[in-house]
Amino acid sequence: MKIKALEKIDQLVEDRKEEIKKARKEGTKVVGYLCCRVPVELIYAHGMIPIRVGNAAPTHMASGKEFIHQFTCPYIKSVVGEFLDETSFYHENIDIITGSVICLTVSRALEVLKAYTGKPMFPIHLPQLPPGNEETEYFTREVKWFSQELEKQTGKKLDEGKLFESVELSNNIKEDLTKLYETQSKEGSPLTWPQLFRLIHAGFLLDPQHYQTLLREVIEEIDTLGIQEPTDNRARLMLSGSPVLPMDNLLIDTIEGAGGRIVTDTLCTGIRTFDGLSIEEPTIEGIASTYLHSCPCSSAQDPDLEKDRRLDHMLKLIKENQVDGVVYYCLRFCDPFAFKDDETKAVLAKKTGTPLLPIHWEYGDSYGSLWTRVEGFMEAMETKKR
Amino acid sequence: MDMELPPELLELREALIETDDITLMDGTKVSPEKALQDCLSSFQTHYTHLPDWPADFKLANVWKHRYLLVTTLERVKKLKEKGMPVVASFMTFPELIFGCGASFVSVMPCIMEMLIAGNFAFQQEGHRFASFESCPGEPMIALWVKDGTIPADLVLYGTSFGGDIPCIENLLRQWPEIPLHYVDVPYNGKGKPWALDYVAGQLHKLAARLGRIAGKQPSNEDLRRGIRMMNDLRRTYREYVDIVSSAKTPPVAGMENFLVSMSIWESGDPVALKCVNEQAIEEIRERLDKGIPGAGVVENPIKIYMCEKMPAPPTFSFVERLGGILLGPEVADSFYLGVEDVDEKGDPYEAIAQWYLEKWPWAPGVPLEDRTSWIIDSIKKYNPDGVLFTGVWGCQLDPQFGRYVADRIKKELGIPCLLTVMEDIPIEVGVDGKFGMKGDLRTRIEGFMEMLKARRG
Repeated sequence: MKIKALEKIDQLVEDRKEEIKKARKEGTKVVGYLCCRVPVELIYAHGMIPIRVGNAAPTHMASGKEFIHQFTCPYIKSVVGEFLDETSFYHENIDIITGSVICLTVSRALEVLKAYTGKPMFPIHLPQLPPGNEETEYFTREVKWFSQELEKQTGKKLDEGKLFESVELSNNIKEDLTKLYETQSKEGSPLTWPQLFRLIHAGFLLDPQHYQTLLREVIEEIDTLGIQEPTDNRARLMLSGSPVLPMDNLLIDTIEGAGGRIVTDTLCTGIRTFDGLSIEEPTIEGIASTYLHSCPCSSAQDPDLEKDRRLDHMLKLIKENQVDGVVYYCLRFCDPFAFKDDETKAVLAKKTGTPLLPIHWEYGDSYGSLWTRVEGFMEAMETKKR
Repeated sequence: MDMELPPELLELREALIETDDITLMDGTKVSPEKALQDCLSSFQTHYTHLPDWPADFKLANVWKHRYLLVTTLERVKKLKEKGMPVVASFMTFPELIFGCGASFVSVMPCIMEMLIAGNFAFQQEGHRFASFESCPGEPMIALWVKDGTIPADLVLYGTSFGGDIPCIENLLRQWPEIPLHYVDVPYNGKGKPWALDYVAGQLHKLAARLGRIAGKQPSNEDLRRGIRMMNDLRRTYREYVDIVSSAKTPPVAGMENFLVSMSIWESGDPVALKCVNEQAIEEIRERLDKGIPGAGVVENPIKIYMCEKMPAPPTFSFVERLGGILLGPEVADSFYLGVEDVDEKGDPYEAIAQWYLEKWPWAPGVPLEDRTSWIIDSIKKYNPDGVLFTGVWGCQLDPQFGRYVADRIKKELGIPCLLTVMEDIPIEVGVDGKFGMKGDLRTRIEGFMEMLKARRG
């Protein structure tokens, strides 16, 4: 179903790029970041503009290989390729590079970007182990350091009032996204998961005030439209695994084209950009604690399988969203997810009986093989339902 | 094992029995004759591909490195029988492990199982359990710990150290009876006191755990003893590199150089390694004084420094046949060359934490620029004609940097750098075990050598 408010996204994104160029001319610094565990609230509070970088254009991946090894995942190759293209928006308009480092490859990408652009780079190491007192103490100091580095860049101390405002706005955005997420999962919802996914990606670039306005418009429109007559679908699906970037639409289109309905995800470019990230205490300590205790990606180490934070989160979402099956996306050389496909499949089979389809993928791979696998998975789930 | 020896081995035996015994960590002495016998019998029974590698039969003491290489697992089992705990580790915190009265096994025996035992099925099993994208070594540690080949009391990993940490976690979580211990080492932690506190605090926990396994909690002095063992060992490697790098015509062939330098990765017994290094150094120094080149090494050869890791074994003699020699590799040099020792006087936990956080050039805490500067300084020491950068299949640790390192080398040293990939070991050396050399690497090395020769004029 058409949601009018969503039709504005492309224009808003284009307008935002011009706004950013203008803001830079007036002295505002732009921070390009990788990973959903970078505390963007803090960047805004420092009067800077955060942009989450990365999209799945195959041309960027190809050019990225000039600078970073071919054994790197396509996501990182693509980020590097676009960033180091001297004509790209990122290259021209990002002043500072950062990323939350839990994935080894992200750390390598940050180093390469710094080396070839000469831009300041401030990586934030997110502890890889389950958080205890030591991890909390370490990470709080790490976030403080990050904030101090930003202060050096702006020449201004962090204003507590601005931090409060930034956290409040960010919390409101997360609340709105949570509401939209719950809505899209309902049968007969006028909003689909792919539409919401695109809306989430718009937030990687848009000004947070304007973004919240857009979210409120979408919520209002959806409330007005109300629940519709449910359309047929062959299965309610979760999309999990490696990052699914803006423009990486083939898998989503294939699933939806085969009659599957994605109702939830565990993606770092999807639900994990807001789920569990509402900050109770608008301080650096509060921000550090929230990010540290949120669900990590597969790069984190949970030595005890029974206490695996990622799997617990996944199982919770499967239950809440009545998921029939999981499509598990493994980008090539994304070791953290690729190595755990069998294990994830076994845990789901044991605990909920939910089937899992692993898709190992490189941008630009053949559509035919993808369609065949997705179609086969759908048939299997239909058979199971009967 | 009684066997009729060919003339070159008879000659080697004559030279070897004149040399000193090897002293192991538990005080055991191994005679040179026994070391040779064990090498030869392992060539027949298990490490059947080692004879395919080129060998210098006149350089007696490096055969003791061969002995340590082929007996790693056997020796560690004996130490275990004597009550010494065994840690399976990716070359992380050996100072602390030894200080706690334990020994350790690194990833190298697993690599050797494929390279010199030709057990390619082992690698495929690792891929089956992890992924075909995994590195050739790390899944196998888990498999060997599981089946008891490595009698590990603890599997220890530093996060950000291994290229395939997720696979270790994945594999070992399937078998919770295998104790797994992580130390989280912050990326880019150099110069951050809170990162140092964080790592040192975790090392206290690790030492306490090892102490419980060993039945005795280690004192600070115990840990300093472990630090001294590794520092003493590092000094012998530095001395060795000084000799090899200063020679216009190296007194060792590429393979012998590889066996000595990479033995640091086998430092499960630093006492034995120090002992054999010292003996080899003496012999190599004598060679240098007499102007004896390594076997098969031409006078004033084209020198190529192995940056990052090393290519498959056939490449060593191939380069020598073309009039060159491979020196390094960086993966070994990083532990000792131009690197400060671990502080022996202060708080040992902090000293070890600091070394693995910010002093070891490969530490995750060290920024790429700093590490590359260290690489450039190391290369200057060798004064090579060119650099061969080898990224290993599936390694998420360092191949990513290849282009940047090559660019800096070219800019700052004016020498060319060839970027190559070591793929799955069977692809590199041939599943038939004939240890050929894959065609694309052969032609690239040939072209590179031609270019380096032309540059010399």
